[in-house]
Amino acid sequence: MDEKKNAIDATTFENLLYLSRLSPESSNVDILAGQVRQIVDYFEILSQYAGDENPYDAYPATTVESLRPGDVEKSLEPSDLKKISGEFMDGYFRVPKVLGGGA
Amino acid sequence: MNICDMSLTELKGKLESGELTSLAIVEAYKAAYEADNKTEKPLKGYIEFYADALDAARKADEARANGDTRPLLGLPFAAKDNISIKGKPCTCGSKILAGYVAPYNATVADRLIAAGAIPMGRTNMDEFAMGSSTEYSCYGPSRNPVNRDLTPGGSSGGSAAVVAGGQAPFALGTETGGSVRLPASYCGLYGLKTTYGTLSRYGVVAFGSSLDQVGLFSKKIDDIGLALSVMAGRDAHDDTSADLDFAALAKLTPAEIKGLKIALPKEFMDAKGLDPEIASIFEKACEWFRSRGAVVETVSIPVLEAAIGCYYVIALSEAASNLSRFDGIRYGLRKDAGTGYDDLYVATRSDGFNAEVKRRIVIGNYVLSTHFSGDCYKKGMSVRARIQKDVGEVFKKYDVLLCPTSPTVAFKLGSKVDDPLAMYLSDLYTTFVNLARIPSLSVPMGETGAGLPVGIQICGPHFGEERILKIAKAWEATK
Repeated sequence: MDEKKNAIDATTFENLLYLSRLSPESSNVDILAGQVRQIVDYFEILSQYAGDENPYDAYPATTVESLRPGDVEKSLEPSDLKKISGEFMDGYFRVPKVLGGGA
Repeated sequence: MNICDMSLTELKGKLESGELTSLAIVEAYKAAYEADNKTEKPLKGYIEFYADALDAARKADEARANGDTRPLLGLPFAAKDNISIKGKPCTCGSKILAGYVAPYNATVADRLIAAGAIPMGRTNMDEFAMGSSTEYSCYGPSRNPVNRDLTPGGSSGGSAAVVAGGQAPFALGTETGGSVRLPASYCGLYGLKTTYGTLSRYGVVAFGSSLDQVGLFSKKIDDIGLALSVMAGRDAHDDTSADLDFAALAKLTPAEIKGLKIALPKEFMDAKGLDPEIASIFEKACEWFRSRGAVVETVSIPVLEAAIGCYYVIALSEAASNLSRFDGIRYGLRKDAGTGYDDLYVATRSDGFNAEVKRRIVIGNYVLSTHFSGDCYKKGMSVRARIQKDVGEVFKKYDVLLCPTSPTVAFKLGSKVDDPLAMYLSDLYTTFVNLARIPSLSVPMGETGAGLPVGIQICGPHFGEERILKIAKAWEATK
């Protein structure tokens, strides 16, 4: 696609798997790498149409692309939260199990 | 007429006249679902038919007897497995969300329920809506009711299968790049992809957040108008939802076809791989419009040839980011060998995601990394801006844009499952709509010699849902 692009060799693919938090043992890496290369090659067509005259925010298409001002609404008081939470016990909110708590 | 063959609006009429009860309607769909499950090749459109749907129907009948006149009272609907229904599992067709129960309703479901509708079941889908055939579901594939050896399309194939197969009168799906229109076309249904912002995305599991929209399946066009009339409009939980009043869609009138200006994109008609039978049916559809006084002209939008590439760059970048939340800590599956967080993340994701989702996450992370891909993402965004601009220019001169929904009819189960690029090209005619954020309706316009349905899509300008639904109504009135 451009000069900066690295080919997806075995090392690059290993790095991509790590970035994706996926194990190389979980997939047929050779097949997956081949498919990824084939699809990435398909992106070459973008070079024919991309250009500085078309920055990503140049043509807002709908009104929803620019966010409305936020509506300020009253939030729940801590006492209200305690009433609706099933995870509240002995004066505290319970933590996820991974942190060693009881939830 | 059999209950299971009726449209949503026909059922509404029967309920209001007292000819049918909601209980009889839900019982009929449940019986159809259970009988189909015993066949040699069941549709498998539902992942779950809700056990409490009959109770909800009884309550609706009681409410009607007590004077309740809500517009969808007692009418059942099915929803794709990525749309939250409070107290029900929501797994996105994925092992990684096994056991996850939605703690609240998605706004689209909430509004249907507030109008009296009954959630009847959750439907099958490609895992995390990534696919065009429902074959990438952890529950196994759904089948096409027209021919059970074929795919119903995807990713909302389960929703299409239950409506076309007479197991629900109406269903919700979601679209990121054609996942409602493609199955609608393959199964002979109406399928609407709304303008980005027409329907709230709150409670819908994200795939590509700048592209995702909820969509609707039905047998008759009035059904989509009726449902949209209660679902559309601003939602405080989704800042991208727009202030709209679609109440008038509850009673659709046919559009005046005479004088309508219709654009046909040359690039799609010249595309390699367009089935000649579909081209012929499309030409007949164009002739139908011409014969009623519409002006039908070919336009050239060269950038459309880059739409698929652009779509996958953006959708997979957003998917890689959105799916990073599934790490075994908060939702569903957890694989923990007790060796630390990173091992837990890797083990959970490696076991929980299927090969297609992994492929897309890896490509998304490639695109998002300047180190690996250079300015690939920026180029994708630039091409998207150009698509928005060029498609917008078309709508300055024309009322609607017309093209086939898919270059092919429904394909055989298993025929593309190991060829991801071929599967991606199923979306050849649909992705530009999501990139341009416009509405598009797939209309069942004919059948091939083998009896397989063919859909033609009517695309409108932003928030032009009323226009395209009324055009479809005019078409339907002549059938």
